[in-house]
Amino acid sequence: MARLELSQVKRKISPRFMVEDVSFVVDAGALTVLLGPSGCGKSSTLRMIAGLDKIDAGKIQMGERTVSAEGIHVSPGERNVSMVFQNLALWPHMRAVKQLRFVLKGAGLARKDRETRIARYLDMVGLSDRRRSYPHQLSGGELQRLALARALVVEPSLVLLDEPLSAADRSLRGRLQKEIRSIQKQLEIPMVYVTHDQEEALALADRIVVMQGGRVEQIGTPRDVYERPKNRFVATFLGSNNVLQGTKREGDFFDTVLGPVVCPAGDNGLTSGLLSLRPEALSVHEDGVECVVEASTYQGGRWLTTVSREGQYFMVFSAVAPDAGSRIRLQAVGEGFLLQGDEDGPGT
Amino acid sequence: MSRRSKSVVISGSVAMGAFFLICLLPVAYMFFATFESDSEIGFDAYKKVLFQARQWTLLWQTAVVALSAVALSLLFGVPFAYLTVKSDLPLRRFFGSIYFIPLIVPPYMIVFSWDRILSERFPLGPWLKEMFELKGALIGAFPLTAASIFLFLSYFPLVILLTRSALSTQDPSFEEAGVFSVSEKRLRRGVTLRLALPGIVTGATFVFIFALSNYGVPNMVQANVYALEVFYQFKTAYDQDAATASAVPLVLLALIPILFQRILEGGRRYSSPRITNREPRIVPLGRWRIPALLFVTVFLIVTVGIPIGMLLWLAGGISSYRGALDVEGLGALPDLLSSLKYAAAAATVAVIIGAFMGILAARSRKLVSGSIDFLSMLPFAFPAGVVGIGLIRLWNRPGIFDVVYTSSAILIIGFLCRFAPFAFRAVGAGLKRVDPAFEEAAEVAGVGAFRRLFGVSFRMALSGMSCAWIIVFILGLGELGMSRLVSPPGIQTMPLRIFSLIHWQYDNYVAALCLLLVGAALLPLVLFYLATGKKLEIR
Amino acid sequence: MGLRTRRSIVSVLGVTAFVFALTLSGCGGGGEKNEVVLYCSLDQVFSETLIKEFEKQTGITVKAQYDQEATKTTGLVNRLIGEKDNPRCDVYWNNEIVLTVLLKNKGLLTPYVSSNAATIPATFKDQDGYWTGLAARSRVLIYNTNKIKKEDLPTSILDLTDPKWKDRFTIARPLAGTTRTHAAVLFEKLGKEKAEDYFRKLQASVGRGVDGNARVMRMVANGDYEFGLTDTDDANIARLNGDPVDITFLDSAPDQMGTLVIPNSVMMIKGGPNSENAKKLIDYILSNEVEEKLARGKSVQIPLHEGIVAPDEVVTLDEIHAMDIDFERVAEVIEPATEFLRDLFLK
Repeated sequence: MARLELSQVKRKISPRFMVEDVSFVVDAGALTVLLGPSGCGKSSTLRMIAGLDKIDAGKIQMGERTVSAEGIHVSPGERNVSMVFQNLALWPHMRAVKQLRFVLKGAGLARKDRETRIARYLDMVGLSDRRRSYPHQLSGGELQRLALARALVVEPSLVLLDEPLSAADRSLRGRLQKEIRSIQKQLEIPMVYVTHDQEEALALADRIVVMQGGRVEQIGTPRDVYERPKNRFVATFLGSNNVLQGTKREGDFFDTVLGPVVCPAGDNGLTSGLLSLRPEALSVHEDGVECVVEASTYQGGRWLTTVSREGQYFMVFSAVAPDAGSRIRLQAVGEGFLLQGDEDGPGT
Repeated sequence: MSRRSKSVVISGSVAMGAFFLICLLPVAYMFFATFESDSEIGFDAYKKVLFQARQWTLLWQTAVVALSAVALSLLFGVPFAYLTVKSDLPLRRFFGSIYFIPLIVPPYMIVFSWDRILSERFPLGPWLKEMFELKGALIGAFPLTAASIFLFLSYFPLVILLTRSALSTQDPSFEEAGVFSVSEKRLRRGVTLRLALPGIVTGATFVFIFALSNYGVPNMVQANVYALEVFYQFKTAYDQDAATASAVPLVLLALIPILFQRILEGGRRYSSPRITNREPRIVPLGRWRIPALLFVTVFLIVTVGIPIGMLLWLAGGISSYRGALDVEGLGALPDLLSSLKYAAAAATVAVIIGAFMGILAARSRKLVSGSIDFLSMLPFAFPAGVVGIGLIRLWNRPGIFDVVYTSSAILIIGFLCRFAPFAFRAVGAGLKRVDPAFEEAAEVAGVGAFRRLFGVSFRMALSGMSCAWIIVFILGLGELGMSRLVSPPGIQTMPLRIFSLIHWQYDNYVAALCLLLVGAALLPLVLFYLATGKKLEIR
Repeated sequence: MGLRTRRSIVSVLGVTAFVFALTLSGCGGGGEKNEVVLYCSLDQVFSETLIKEFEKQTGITVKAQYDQEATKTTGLVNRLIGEKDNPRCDVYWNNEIVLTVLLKNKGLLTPYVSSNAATIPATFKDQDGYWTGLAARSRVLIYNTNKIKKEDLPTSILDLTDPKWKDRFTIARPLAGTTRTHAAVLFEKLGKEKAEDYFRKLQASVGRGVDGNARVMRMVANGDYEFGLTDTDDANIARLNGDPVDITFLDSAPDQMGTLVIPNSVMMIKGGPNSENAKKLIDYILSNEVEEKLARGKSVQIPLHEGIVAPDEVVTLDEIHAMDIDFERVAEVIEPATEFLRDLFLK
């Protein structure tokens, strides 16, 4: 499939919640992650792409074909997509091999070709020796691999994954992420992957679509959205960015409550605005401004310390854990990034 | 895995104890009595009544009739259930709330109304007679076919009920996982109905057992089945041990599907998925919408409309109802109230016991849980006569038993004995699908054992419980065979009254009383509707 | 066991007990009350009004359980046998007679000779006073007047095996009710061999038989069959209904064996809780008043007391040639006879 394009997609989910004005493009061969907190509308968006739910307005195109629009609804079976569900939805009464055979049987393959293909995909996810097992006989990781194989075996032009790893533990999740990523690259198959886990999103995505409250907040590469969040929501949802008010002094320098911060804003005429500053951009320095230590949490090799100054809270990394209540001096050593679109945001 | 607290074990054991005492002991008593004749242990009773060539014929005919009734129920019931739960059929909610009415009408009365429909007064009977070139009466001309059809018409709602329940609680993502590459038809067969199989099989099992032990219907259409053997053994030889012994093959036959169903559900392959609150996925019917609507409508007209319509026609004006409640100056109203009261009490107790047993089974290891399930189905296999005599022999003795036997409590116990397995199944299945984590969450929060059960697990299985209650209530309302034997002097239930009138051709009164019984059974549903504005779909 | 657990058990028991208690009406208790327990196999529609009358006259409460031989249930006789070790019933009013003898032979009855039984013929009374007969029905041939003329009908039950009647008449299966009694009577009268031969031929002629005398009547009234064997009370229903039917008595010529007359019977249960009231109830049931009412009712019961004036539609004992029967001997043959007939009709 060439590409998937959503334009101003809208759907009323419940009396109090709707997905609205969702537009983004998934390029051929790319893995796009829909990222956002629970209930932000990312799974609903995925279901609309799948064709499981209709859309109220807007348009979804796959290549040249419009699959969803007002008065148009191509059924899921005719979209040439497949999906991995959050609960995996593996059929409890079918052996592993049967799960694949069942979805493949309508594909019009000769029996031999079909079995070869099933074997190939089971092998790809490392389940060749578990082909005769029922779901209840498989481990968590095997279940997830099987669900993936079932989605891939029909060789769809787009794979949709709805938080497939949410039940896996951290190390298993890391392993499976790598596998998914490598399979995706190997097959060059576009995927849309829904998650609420920012680390997962950063690890997997070619592009990230950040959603909140039924709307798209930002679209970009992992680096884009991580380092240059557009607004306070993205900044705080991805990593523990500090958000602070800044006033332009001169050039790229902004004055903030934590002293001067370099912010490559360009010559856009802004005089003040919200800045986001990553914790690692702050450092303990004797020339810095004095802050009160509130608490520290160990992060493996370093401490993430929360400090306060003038009623605002900030995060900073430190090599040792300072005592709560003590005072430390902080200075911005890295660059900040000017946020857009917030109500208390950029002024001119 | 065992995740049960002490209070679950203890309350569950108390419930099991009550179940043994109320439901199992009477039939067990009768069964063991068959080995004892003149204080000697032996198989005399069996030698006398079993293994005659004739009985093999009867057993064979019984199996044919019961299986045909099951096959018909599945043939019509499963598509009906699917269409009313899973499709965009117009009026499906309405259809889904009236199909079970034949269950309220005692089977004998279903034949009664069809007998009147096929009489000379209407064109259907004579037309059929002409078609089959019959000289004699239509009824009795095709005994086994007629018995199968009438038993199907009496019990098919059980298949629909359990299939609908299975379909409507199925997680839609099982289907959605297939819609991308699998046709709706294959999906329906391979996933939807396949996963609903335990429910379908349970429904079929219930129909099978009911069809097996019914003798009123076969007797009326002159089909010789094994249940008549037991009936006549009771009715003519008055040797109750021999009669019980003669019932044993019937019980064994009934155990086959119960065992099969245990095996089916015992395997984790069919372990029912956790309860989902997502609505079932609706499959558009497209061009099949009209044919499907036609199928459902015609089916309901034949199964519900015609018998009920016939009863309405026979009952005639309002005076029949007034007269029926007051035949020759004697009121049937107290009988109706008795029926309502005892059936409701039995349903309540059944649900309570079922809930505590069910939670114990749900939280126990597979072997324990399987045994509880199997035992709970056991009393179901015994004919009403055996249950009734068992109750008399067990409870009719001086002392504390006397209080029970001479009061209406014995009737309630009798209803429980016959129909509680229903409640146990429905409630138990529902509880098994409640994730123990929900309750554990409450436990961690320090919520007491009972508030936990009632506030969380029981609450979540509420739909199964209300369904169980209604079924036991409905079946209790129509019970006859056991009530006849244990109903305390001075207390009469509605079916007893109806049957005492049948013989005397008070067709209008019989029909009117029957309709009153139907109305009474519908009462809880109507009240629910009035109180909440919601239609209670029996799922 | 923790306090919480104990409390939970108490609540389970409590709820269960509560529900039971709710529905326990004050039925328990001993025989101190002024009541009598009656099991009654005569149709409730006829007996209930009579019972109410008794209550009004005497102030004794009758706790009754009704049954009907024709209903498809395991009925009151089984209940009496089941309750043998701890009898609950004082008086049993049976609508026939053979099972009564069976109850007597099983030792469930106690003798009571009512003064009101004096004018009932000895044939219809137990010589030891264990039971007393009253209000009888008779076995008759009911025929459809549109289909066959009276003079063409068979005159003896023994003629029914004639091949010319095949598929033209029907009977109830002789496994229950009065048809079973009738069959047993034939076994007693003809002897085992002749009777078995007769029934084999009869079965070949009628097939399985239908599920009761009421259906025989209805089928004949419908014209499904030309005639059938039924009881006077069933036949009367068709008459009241205006159906084109009439009845004729079989074997009623002086040289024939006579028409079978089956009386109701009333008896006292041994060890019943209210024996004094039981006697009063039996006296009442055996009164002229009851028989007369039964004769005038829909079931047109034949009065057994001498001197009761019955309406025209009721035949009386002196109008028919009633068969002379020893019910004790019928009771002796009824079980083997039924066993034989079960093999014949139930397969």
